[in-house]
Amino acid sequence: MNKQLQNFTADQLKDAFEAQGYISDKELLTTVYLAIKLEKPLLIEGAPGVGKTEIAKVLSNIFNTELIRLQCYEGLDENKALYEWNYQRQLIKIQMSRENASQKLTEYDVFSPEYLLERPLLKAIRAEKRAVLLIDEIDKTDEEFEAFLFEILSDFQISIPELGTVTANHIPIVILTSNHDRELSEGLRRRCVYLYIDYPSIEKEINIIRTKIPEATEKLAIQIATAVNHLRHNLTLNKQPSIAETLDWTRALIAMHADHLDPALVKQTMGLLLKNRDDLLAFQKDLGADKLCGAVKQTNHHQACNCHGAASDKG
Amino acid sequence: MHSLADNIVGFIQILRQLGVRISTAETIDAVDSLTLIDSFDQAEFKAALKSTLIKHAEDQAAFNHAFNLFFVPPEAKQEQQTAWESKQQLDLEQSLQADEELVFQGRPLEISDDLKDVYKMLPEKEKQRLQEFLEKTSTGKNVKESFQPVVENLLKSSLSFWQRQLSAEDLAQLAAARRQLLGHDELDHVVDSAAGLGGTGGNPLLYKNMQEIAEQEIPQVTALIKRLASRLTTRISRRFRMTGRRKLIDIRKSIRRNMRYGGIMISLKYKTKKIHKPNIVIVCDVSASMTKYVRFTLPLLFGLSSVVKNIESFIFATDLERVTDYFRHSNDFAQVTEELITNSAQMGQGTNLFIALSRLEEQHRQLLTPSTLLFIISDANTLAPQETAGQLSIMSKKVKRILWLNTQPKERWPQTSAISSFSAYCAMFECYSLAHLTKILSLNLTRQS
Repeated sequence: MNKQLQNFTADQLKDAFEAQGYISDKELLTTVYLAIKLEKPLLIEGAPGVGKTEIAKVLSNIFNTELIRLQCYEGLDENKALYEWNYQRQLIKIQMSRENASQKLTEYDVFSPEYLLERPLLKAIRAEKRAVLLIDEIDKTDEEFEAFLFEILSDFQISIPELGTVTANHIPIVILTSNHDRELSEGLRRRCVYLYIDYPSIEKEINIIRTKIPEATEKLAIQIATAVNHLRHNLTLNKQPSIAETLDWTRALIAMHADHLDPALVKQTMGLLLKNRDDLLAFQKDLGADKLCGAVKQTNHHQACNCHGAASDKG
Repeated sequence: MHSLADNIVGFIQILRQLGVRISTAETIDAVDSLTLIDSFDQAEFKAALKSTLIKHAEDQAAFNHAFNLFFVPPEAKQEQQTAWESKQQLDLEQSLQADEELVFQGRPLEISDDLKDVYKMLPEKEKQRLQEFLEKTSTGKNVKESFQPVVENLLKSSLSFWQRQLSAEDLAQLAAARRQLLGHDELDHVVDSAAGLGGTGGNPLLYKNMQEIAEQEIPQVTALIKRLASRLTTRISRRFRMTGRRKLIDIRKSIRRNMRYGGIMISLKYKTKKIHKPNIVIVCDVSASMTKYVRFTLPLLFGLSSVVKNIESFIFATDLERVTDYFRHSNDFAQVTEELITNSAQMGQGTNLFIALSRLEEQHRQLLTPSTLLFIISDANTLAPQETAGQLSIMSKKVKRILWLNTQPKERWPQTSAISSFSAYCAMFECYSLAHLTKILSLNLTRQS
């Protein structure tokens, strides 16, 4: 895998992302490529559901390596992220040695790697192959943990008092994601290559729908992408519909044998896109299914006219 | 400036002038990244620089503007250079003209460069009026040389008045004019042009000055503030966690639990520190000078009150008035605003923060505890500034922290002398747009900086 990592090119990465069904653009691919080649952590920010975590999964598939995930949360500490001694096992061992007089037990016996419970960070450092380490939602942790983390991400080595220093066999591909819930420290940002993923354009979202759900007709995909884009730009929502929700909505519409959007269907299925009572009320009050379908038709009509215009110009 | 390395260094200088923080380590990363990509592909080249130099989403707009202006074909660069030179020339001519016009009996007046810049921005009619005043006083009967300081002071106060009337955009333009230039025409014109393009990119409402907000935008502002306020609740509850996040072994419970194993500690029990949620007290200025911000301050009060628990809201002008119940009992912002405006005696009055704070201390003493975050939303234009500073000093010892959201642009702070004395007892933030509020709420507000 390391040879594979050393020799791969940006074009190969593009093909591999496409093969994995991840629709990307040049900026995203170049950034991911540079993070891997420069052996630097990749910090990805963006709204929830735009495909940040997915990048780590795609990379682990591409390089056929283990995906080690550290899900961050309020109060996450070193014990949960790095390592912990298996107290229970150590105690049993001590107890057994007491009962067996011939077995002399020293401190080194119980503080050996056998009694170490590896947590994601240590696991990534000790991995035999260059692993993909996903540190998800880093903004949910506290500043102290963040400071501890960026020390590890600089040196890729950990000191365990009882065992000594453990240095990484291979520097893992590190992906950090953040929903920008909290301002991350400058130190952490400086050590990372940075990528911001915004909601996709209509064209990109059509492409995503068609790739992930091939059963969706082109007409339906266009209408869905246009409708979601219209919602994102014309309604003030607590939670804007993400790509994952667009895909869920598409699947639901296909299950209902729809080949185009109509107001009745939109009314029935809006709960798949908007997951908040206030947002649903805002939709009904400020837009409504009829207006949404009207806006979709109008946008598609304009686009079709522009395409025809361009085609006739070329012709 | 022809080699790639020169261009990169120059480009980084431009970004720094535009307020983007770039360290030497990041510069090295950028240069390293260029050795790994196809430098002739502009999209790839741009992505490489962006990913290694820009680490905040908010800086992306500045990067895009600067990149599009700096990395252009030589012909376009030449055109930009010519335009920049003519602009510089025009600016120089205006400065010389201002120097010629601002004279008393043929002698130049001692006026700061800031105020001279304000003079240059005045409408022609107003300039004419000032010139006539100088002309008349210069040639008046018995007017001696010693009159010059009096004339200077009059002119300064007139220009200071105009300075206060400037919009945030005009102030930004003035700040840009005073920005220290790099002394390299090719770089300076990019800095100047990119700064003029502004730094929006996401929702334009975020960057809008809240005194210019339209009636129909209020629901959007309220919704955005509510979303931001929910961020405050999660952040604050976490920040008040006690020290020592590592779980501690609960000896008592562990011994009890392990009695069944003959006292061998097989099953350990842990204890964690309790999370304390803070109390929030908001004191919001609704005096006449703050009327133009009422479309921001009232949605802010409403948004925070509907999302955050343990919150007490007050408004003040010449006196303090508790308004918590208005927000607690209703979900309809329009209704709350109407009730508040009808019933409150404070709306549009003069400002006396000292009385408001004293009243808060006397009548609501129980709210001021070591876990209280006291927010003051005001433009800091108040009567009795010295007494106010004294009162702030007393209250800062009683509460966790005082956070002042100032609706005046930072450029204007030096004109209000009291601000420096207030700042000694509170953390003051510039806050006249939702972008400012977003930035403030993402900070660790409970920690003293």
